[in-house]
Amino acid sequence: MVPSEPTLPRRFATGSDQAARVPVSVVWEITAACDLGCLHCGSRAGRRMARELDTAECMTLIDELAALGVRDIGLIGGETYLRKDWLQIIRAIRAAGMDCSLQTGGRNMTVERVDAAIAAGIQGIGVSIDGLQATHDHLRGLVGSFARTMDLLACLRDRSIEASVNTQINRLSMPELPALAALFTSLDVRNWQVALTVAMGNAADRPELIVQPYELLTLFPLLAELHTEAKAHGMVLQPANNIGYFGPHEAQLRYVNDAAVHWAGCGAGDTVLGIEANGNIKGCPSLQADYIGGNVRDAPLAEIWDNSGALAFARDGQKSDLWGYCGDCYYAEVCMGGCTWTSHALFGRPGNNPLCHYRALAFDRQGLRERLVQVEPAPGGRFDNGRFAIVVEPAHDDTVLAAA
Amino acid sequence: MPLCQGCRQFVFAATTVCPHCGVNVSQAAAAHDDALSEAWAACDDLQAAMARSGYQLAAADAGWVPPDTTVDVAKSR
Repeated sequence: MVPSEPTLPRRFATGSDQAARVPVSVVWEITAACDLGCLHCGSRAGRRMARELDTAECMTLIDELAALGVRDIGLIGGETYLRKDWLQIIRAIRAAGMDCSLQTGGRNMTVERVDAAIAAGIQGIGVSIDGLQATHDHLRGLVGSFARTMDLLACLRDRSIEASVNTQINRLSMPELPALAALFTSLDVRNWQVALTVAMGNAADRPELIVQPYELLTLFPLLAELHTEAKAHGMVLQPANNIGYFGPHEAQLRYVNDAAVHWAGCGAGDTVLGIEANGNIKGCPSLQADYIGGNVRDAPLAEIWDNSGALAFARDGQKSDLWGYCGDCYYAEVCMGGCTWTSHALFGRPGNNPLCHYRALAFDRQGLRERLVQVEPAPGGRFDNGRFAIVVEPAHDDTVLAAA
Repeated sequence: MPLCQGCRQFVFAATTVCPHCGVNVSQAAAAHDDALSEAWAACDDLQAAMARSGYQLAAADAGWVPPDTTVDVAKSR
């Protein structure tokens, strides 16, 4: 008996993709318009952006994406369905041979809209759920929004479409993760992606939401336990790019088809590409304005992808770019400081990431912990961030969050 | 990066002594490979034994499909 060969989803980059620098996976914010007002929204979505791409520009962009070798496009907002041409965009992506999924807060993703999206060719719908009812409704800024997500999951369960859930982990939602895991498995959810809430946009205005580095000591064993339980119930718990790095649970949490894989550095601008609603191109959709490499109205996408220095930071990064603890870490040359977006949101530049389990364990072994303190507020724009300082202090016994 | 089989944490290929748990990485890997080989062999033996006794593997990896083991309760009394 031998283990079967793993089959990777098309959105996963292969070695040849990396060698050829193919933007395999694209996340495209097709509008900033949103019908929710989430307290932790990084892009401060709500109103439509000035000069969002029109339909014709979107069709041209889809052709350019296909020509670059893109295999998978995830549509996000705001809310995708608030564009009148959202179904046309889905159809065009599918007609061009690329996979297409979308992410929604679910407030007005009605049965009719789900069926229309399926008819247009959508292959997966991800629902953002950030806690049990009270927590979710509070974070999403709308009483009843949790109930809408439950309605949507029930709708998706009855249809032949990949349903997934995305959850942001913050100091409100973290204690509810076990209950959420049980809820999602009972609803036949197959993929549950978890990400740390990042101190960007609206979340930068609420630093009390941000998980502290020392709280990772509680979070990661919990995630490992939930990962095991979820797997037994047919659900994959997937860590997002800012869940890491290395440490005793890395092989379990970041596995792919039972193969032990590990974090290999930020993939932004390497095999990942992000598009803002106005045509700005970034290496990752979450990144700050500092990383905008160009706009598709000003230059062909291939030219931006090939030549923009703002997209090259991850692939051209050096170990010497790291600073603080990360600069001397055992994993420095592979990890490269973890998620660029997350560390930039804390310090205004990448290369030092205290939201790391391995690092928190190292401090804990010395009887110490790191605590993040906001020292400068965010100015209030899209994808903006403030500044944080790291306080190193003795570890206390009162720091463990209640994990039910 | 390979996994240290002493602590299941990743180490660099050139690392000889795991910086996390202190084991000799290559010795731990060899012991793990041996154990894994034994486990696969045991799986093969078990599969063969179950096949001989009438069990069959479901085609879609859904688990074991038991034969009809209905017991005639009246006869067994």
